[in-house]
Amino acid sequence: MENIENVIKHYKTETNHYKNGLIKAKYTSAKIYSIKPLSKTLYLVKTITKNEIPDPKPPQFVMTWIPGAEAIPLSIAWYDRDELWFIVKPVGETTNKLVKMQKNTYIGVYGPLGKPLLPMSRGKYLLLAGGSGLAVITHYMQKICLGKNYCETVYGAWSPEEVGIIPDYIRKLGGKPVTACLDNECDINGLATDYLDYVDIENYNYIIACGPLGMLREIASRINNRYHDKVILVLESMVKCGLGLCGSCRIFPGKNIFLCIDGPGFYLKDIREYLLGDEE
Amino acid sequence: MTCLKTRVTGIELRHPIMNASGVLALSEEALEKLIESNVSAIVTKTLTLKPREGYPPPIIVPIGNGLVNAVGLANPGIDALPFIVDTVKKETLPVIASIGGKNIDEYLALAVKAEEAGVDAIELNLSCPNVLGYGLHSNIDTGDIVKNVKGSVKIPVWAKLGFSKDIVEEAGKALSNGADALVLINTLPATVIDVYAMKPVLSNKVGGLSGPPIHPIMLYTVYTVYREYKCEIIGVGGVTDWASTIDTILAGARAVQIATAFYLKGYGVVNEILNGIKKYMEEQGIKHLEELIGKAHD
Repeated sequence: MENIENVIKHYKTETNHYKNGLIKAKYTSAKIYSIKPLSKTLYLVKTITKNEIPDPKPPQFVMTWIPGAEAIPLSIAWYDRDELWFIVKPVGETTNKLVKMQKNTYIGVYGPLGKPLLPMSRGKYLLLAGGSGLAVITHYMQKICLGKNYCETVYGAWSPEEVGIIPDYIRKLGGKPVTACLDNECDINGLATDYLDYVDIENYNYIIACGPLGMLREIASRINNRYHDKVILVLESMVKCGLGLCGSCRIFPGKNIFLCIDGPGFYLKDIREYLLGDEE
Repeated sequence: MTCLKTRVTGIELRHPIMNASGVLALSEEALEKLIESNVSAIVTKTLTLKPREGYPPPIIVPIGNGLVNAVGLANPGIDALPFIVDTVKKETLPVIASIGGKNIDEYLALAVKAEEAGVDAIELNLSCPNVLGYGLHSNIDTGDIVKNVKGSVKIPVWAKLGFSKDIVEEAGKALSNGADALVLINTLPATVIDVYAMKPVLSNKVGGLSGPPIHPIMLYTVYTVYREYKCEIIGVGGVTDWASTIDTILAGARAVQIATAFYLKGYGVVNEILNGIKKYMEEQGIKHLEELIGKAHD
């Protein structure tokens, strides 16, 4: 007879959701009450949920359903009781429809999805956002910057028009804005990651970044190994169910890491080799 | 010493918990995730002759402790099966191919390909509630499909049936036509309407309910079917902890399948359930899990 202990412990898998304090997602309707451009390419969409969802922590996200269109994963930009805000870049049919919705119309959301990854220590934070990656970064700012910690927030875009009033928004959330674009009108004429050339990583307790994969790869290759346990990278991928059941949100080929249950945030030490892949 | 082994249609399982069809079981990465969860067999997503994209999101909506889903039989097609079998067999786990066809010819072709791929058993998905032309929405007779498939393969054939008022009769039809085991039950037809958007949320408008809300209905089905036929049954529906596994076995199931539990508790849920079963069996002085099969009928 096979020893029962061997049967159970053949594989060591904890109940991740319990271990990491995750609770199940809830569906709610949400009323849009404001849609305003932050820049030429980003919109701040503010909604009020009809029912509270379990308190989301960055970098968790929600599946957002636009009636008459598809549901898409959207990072939470701000959450407080029934206030749920998004920062949306209209790039496809669904996001274009969302930013054109009328005030007082409804969308549906379910979440929070993904794992919380929120550093608890006080100190100095360097936050880097590229494009719509700003949403995740502003949710982090709500939790760790506002009245709590020193934060420098670098926002990178291609042109000054894409920067718009984002520096003001960053200031409101308690961050010192630094802008990067391919123009002298920005603080840095270059990419958001170029800021790493001007600062000493040693001086920050945490570095958190969200943006296109190329930007995250650049961070992974620029930051010295010894700091990899204080760098959090938030990834994006296609999501279908958001609940860990369909397997659509595989992030790295050949690795059984799924964005909606294992991510979307990871310490750089845990994903550096997958991110850099052949470059190593 | 406590023994969790069970046997379904001659296939030995080191414990009674498999995944239900529909959970992962597509890519190599997803299979690894399932294997790591410690399930005792892998049940594939329902495979059709040609790959299917499935429906666009929303394909699933969380409702209380349950889920309402309409995935639309998204799958890579039966030709992906040899890869799935190779990946799972490296871990020496049994593979059950779930197959779904629009007519008897499709079922036959799928069953033959599944047997050739080296699966341990075939699960006939006769009860998908979400896709036109398949499962509940097909006009083919359960008995005819089972009889024809049984006549063309040597491996065990499991028939997955949904709940209906005629379930005992339907089960009898599957069994009399040669089904080696019954998988009871599929999701229950359901939908979710957003009262503010005033529209169904799922892109397919309607879908199927899974999870703890359907557990008592599954239990009733397993209990009444076992009482009638004393047949081999795999229970599916709202199994999320040791108690809902044990009651399903007491009702007559030889094994269970789980899906929503992975969402509710994560991929460690299998080991959590096994630890609970072990404690229960020790408390009750039960040495072999198989002693509990159908015991509620004594």
